[in-house]
Amino acid sequence: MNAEKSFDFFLKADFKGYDEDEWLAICRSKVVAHGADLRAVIAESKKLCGVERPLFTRVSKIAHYLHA
Amino acid sequence: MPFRYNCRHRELAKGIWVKEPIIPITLAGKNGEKLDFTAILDSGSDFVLIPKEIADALGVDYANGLEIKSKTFDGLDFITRLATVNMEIKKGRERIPIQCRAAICTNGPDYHHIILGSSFFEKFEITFDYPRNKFVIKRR
Repeated sequence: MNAEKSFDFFLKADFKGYDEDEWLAICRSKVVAHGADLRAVIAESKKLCGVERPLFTRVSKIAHYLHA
Repeated sequence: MPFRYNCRHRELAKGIWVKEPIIPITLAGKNGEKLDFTAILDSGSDFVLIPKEIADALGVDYANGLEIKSKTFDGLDFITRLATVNMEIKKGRERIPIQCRAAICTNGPDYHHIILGSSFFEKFEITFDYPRNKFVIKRR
Protein backbone atom coordinates (compact mmCIF):
# COMPACT_ATOMS: atom_id res chain seq x y z
CA MET A 1 0.00 0.00 0.00
CA ASN A 2 1.47 3.31 -1.07
CA ALA A 3 0.45 5.33 1.99
CA GLU A 4 2.12 2.93 4.43
CA LYS A 5 5.27 2.62 2.33
CA SER A 6 5.52 6.40 2.10
CA PHE A 7 5.10 6.75 5.86
CA ASP A 8 7.68 4.04 6.57
CA PHE A 9 10.10 5.91 4.33
CA PHE A 10 9.32 9.16 6.21
CA LEU A 11 10.04 7.48 9.56
CA LYS A 12 13.49 6.31 8.46
CA ALA A 13 14.65 9.15 6.22
CA ASP A 14 16.74 12.04 7.59
CA PHE A 15 16.08 14.59 4.79
CA LYS A 16 19.46 16.20 5.45
CA GLY A 17 19.79 17.05 1.76
CA TYR A 18 16.75 19.33 1.88
CA ASP A 19 16.39 22.84 3.23
CA GLU A 20 14.67 23.72 6.50
CA ASP A 21 10.94 24.41 5.97
CA GLU A 22 10.81 22.82 2.53
CA TRP A 23 7.68 20.87 1.68
CA LEU A 24 8.33 17.33 0.52
CA ALA A 25 6.07 14.96 -1.38
CA ILE A 26 6.87 11.30 -0.74
CA CYS A 27 5.63 8.57 -2.99
CA ARG A 28 6.48 5.04 -1.84
CA SER A 29 10.18 5.19 -1.00
CA LYS A 30 11.31 8.39 -2.58
CA VAL A 31 10.82 12.13 -2.49
CA VAL A 32 9.15 12.98 -5.80
CA ALA A 33 8.80 16.74 -5.38
CA HIS A 34 10.04 19.42 -2.99
CA GLY A 35 10.00 23.17 -2.62
CA ALA A 36 8.87 26.16 -0.58
CA ASP A 37 5.42 26.43 -2.18
CA LEU A 38 3.05 23.71 -1.01
CA ARG A 39 0.61 24.16 -3.91
CA ALA A 40 3.44 23.74 -6.44
CA VAL A 41 4.71 20.63 -4.64
CA ILE A 42 1.19 19.17 -4.63
CA ALA A 43 0.76 19.86 -8.36
CA GLU A 44 4.16 18.44 -9.30
CA SER A 45 3.76 15.31 -7.19
CA LYS A 46 0.33 14.58 -8.64
CA LYS A 47 1.88 14.44 -12.10
CA LEU A 48 4.60 12.08 -10.92
CA CYS A 49 2.61 9.78 -8.61
CA GLY A 50 -0.28 9.04 -10.95
CA VAL A 51 -3.20 7.48 -9.14
CA GLU A 52 -1.28 7.06 -5.88
CA ARG A 53 -1.60 9.73 -3.21
CA PRO A 54 1.71 11.21 -2.03
CA LEU A 55 2.45 11.94 1.62
CA PHE A 56 3.30 15.57 2.30
CA THR A 57 5.61 16.65 5.08
CA ARG A 58 7.91 19.51 5.92
CA VAL A 59 11.62 19.47 6.66
CA SER A 60 12.50 20.33 10.23
CA LYS A 61 16.00 20.42 11.66
CA ILE A 62 15.40 22.50 14.77
CA ALA A 63 14.00 21.71 18.21
CA HIS A 64 10.27 22.27 18.71
CA TYR A 65 8.31 23.28 21.75
CA LEU A 66 4.70 23.06 20.75
CA HIS A 67 1.65 23.75 22.91
CA ALA A 68 0.02 26.07 20.39
CA MET B 1 -8.83 -2.20 16.50
CA PRO B 2 -5.89 -0.25 17.96
CA PHE B 3 -3.56 1.54 15.58
CA ARG B 4 0.06 0.98 16.58
CA TYR B 5 2.81 3.39 15.60
CA ASN B 6 6.52 3.84 16.14
CA CYS B 7 8.03 7.18 17.11
CA ARG B 8 10.12 8.95 14.52
CA HIS B 9 13.73 9.51 15.57
CA ARG B 10 15.22 12.82 14.52
CA GLU B 11 18.83 13.89 15.06
CA LEU B 12 18.87 17.51 16.23
CA ALA B 13 22.65 17.69 16.59
CA LYS B 14 25.41 15.14 16.44
CA GLY B 15 24.40 12.40 18.86
CA ILE B 16 21.30 14.26 20.11
CA TRP B 17 18.18 12.36 19.11
CA VAL B 18 14.56 13.19 19.82
CA LYS B 19 11.47 11.02 19.45
CA GLU B 20 8.42 12.40 17.69
CA PRO B 21 4.89 10.92 17.84
CA ILE B 22 4.00 11.54 14.22
CA ILE B 23 1.24 9.82 12.24
CA PRO B 24 -0.04 10.10 8.68
CA ILE B 25 -3.49 11.64 8.36
CA THR B 26 -5.75 12.26 5.41
CA LEU B 27 -7.48 15.62 5.22
CA ALA B 28 -10.52 16.09 3.01
CA GLY B 29 -11.01 19.37 1.23
CA LYS B 30 -14.15 21.28 0.33
CA ASN B 31 -14.31 19.77 -3.16
CA GLY B 32 -13.74 16.23 -1.94
CA GLU B 33 -10.02 16.24 -2.65
CA LYS B 34 -8.01 14.20 -0.16
CA LEU B 35 -4.41 14.95 0.76
CA ASP B 36 -2.14 12.97 3.10
CA PHE B 37 0.06 14.86 5.58
CA THR B 38 2.24 14.04 8.53
CA ALA B 39 0.81 15.26 11.85
CA ILE B 40 2.29 15.35 15.33
CA LEU B 41 0.41 14.45 18.50
CA ASP B 42 0.46 17.18 21.16
CA SER B 43 -1.97 16.81 24.06
CA GLY B 44 -0.94 20.26 25.31
CA SER B 45 -2.46 22.02 22.31
CA ASP B 46 -6.09 23.08 22.61
CA PHE B 47 -7.17 22.23 19.06
CA VAL B 48 -5.97 20.56 15.93
CA LEU B 49 -3.79 23.28 14.40
CA ILE B 50 -3.50 23.45 10.64
CA PRO B 51 -1.06 25.77 8.89
CA LYS B 52 -2.76 28.27 6.56
CA GLU B 53 -0.93 26.90 3.53
CA ILE B 54 -2.50 23.49 4.03
CA ALA B 55 -5.97 24.90 4.71
CA ASP B 56 -5.76 27.02 1.56
CA ALA B 57 -4.58 24.08 -0.56
CA LEU B 58 -7.57 22.06 0.64
CA GLY B 59 -10.08 24.89 0.33
CA VAL B 60 -10.98 24.73 4.02
CA ASP B 61 -13.58 27.41 4.72
CA TYR B 62 -12.20 29.32 7.68
CA ALA B 63 -12.57 32.99 6.66
CA ASN B 64 -15.77 33.39 8.68
CA GLY B 65 -14.69 31.08 11.48
CA LEU B 66 -14.57 32.28 15.07
CA GLU B 67 -11.36 34.17 15.72
CA ILE B 68 -9.34 32.82 18.64
CA LYS B 69 -6.33 34.52 20.17
CA SER B 70 -3.57 32.00 20.67
CA LYS B 71 -0.13 31.82 22.16
CA THR B 72 2.74 29.45 21.64
CA PHE B 73 4.50 27.79 24.55
CA ASP B 74 7.30 30.32 24.21
CA GLY B 75 4.88 33.26 24.37
CA LEU B 76 4.39 34.28 20.75
CA ASP B 77 0.88 35.65 20.11
CA PHE B 78 -0.97 34.67 16.96
CA ILE B 79 -4.49 34.50 15.57
CA THR B 80 -6.40 31.41 14.49
CA ARG B 81 -9.82 30.92 12.98
CA LEU B 82 -11.89 27.86 13.80
CA ALA B 83 -13.19 25.49 11.16
CA THR B 84 -14.53 21.96 11.05
CA VAL B 85 -12.28 19.61 9.14
CA ASN B 86 -12.93 16.08 7.91
CA MET B 87 -9.98 13.78 8.34
CA GLU B 88 -9.19 10.12 8.70
CA ILE B 89 -6.48 7.97 10.14
CA LYS B 90 -5.81 4.59 8.63
CA LYS B 91 -3.62 1.59 9.12
CA GLY B 92 -3.75 -1.33 6.72
CA ARG B 93 -7.37 -1.82 5.77
CA GLU B 94 -8.73 -0.07 8.86
CA ARG B 95 -9.89 3.52 8.50
CA ILE B 96 -11.30 5.86 11.11
CA PRO B 97 -13.00 8.92 9.64
CA ILE B 98 -13.46 11.78 12.09
CA GLN B 99 -14.62 15.35 12.07
CA CYS B 100 -12.52 17.67 14.18
CA ARG B 101 -12.65 21.27 15.22
CA ALA B 102 -9.46 22.78 13.89
CA ALA B 103 -7.73 26.12 14.33
CA ILE B 104 -6.29 27.56 11.17
CA CYS B 105 -3.17 29.53 11.92
CA THR B 106 -3.69 32.74 9.91
CA ASN B 107 -0.76 34.90 10.96
CA GLY B 108 1.25 32.78 13.25
CA PRO B 109 4.29 30.66 13.68
CA ASP B 110 5.31 28.48 10.84
CA TYR B 111 4.64 25.02 12.20
CA HIS B 112 6.16 22.10 10.37
CA HIS B 113 3.49 19.55 11.02
CA ILE B 114 -0.20 19.63 11.55
CA ILE B 115 -0.62 19.55 15.33
CA LEU B 116 -3.16 17.07 16.64
CA GLY B 117 -4.26 18.68 19.89
CA SER B 118 -7.08 18.24 22.36
CA SER B 119 -9.90 18.21 19.77
CA PHE B 120 -8.25 15.11 18.27
CA PHE B 121 -7.33 13.47 21.58
CA GLU B 122 -10.92 13.60 22.87
CA LYS B 123 -11.97 11.11 20.19
CA PHE B 124 -9.38 8.46 21.08
CA GLU B 125 -7.65 6.58 23.83
CA ILE B 126 -3.97 7.23 23.20
CA THR B 127 -1.22 5.39 25.03
CA PHE B 128 2.45 6.36 24.85
CA ASP B 129 5.31 3.96 25.53
CA TYR B 130 8.34 6.11 24.79
CA PRO B 131 10.96 3.72 26.23
CA ARG B 132 9.81 1.22 23.59
CA ASN B 133 9.36 3.94 20.95
CA LYS B 134 5.71 3.10 20.54
CA PHE B 135 2.29 4.66 20.86
CA VAL B 136 -1.17 3.28 20.30
CA ILE B 137 -4.33 5.07 19.14
CA LYS B 138 -7.64 3.40 19.87
CA ARG B 139 -11.10 4.74 19.10
CA ARG B 140 -13.27 5.45 22.17
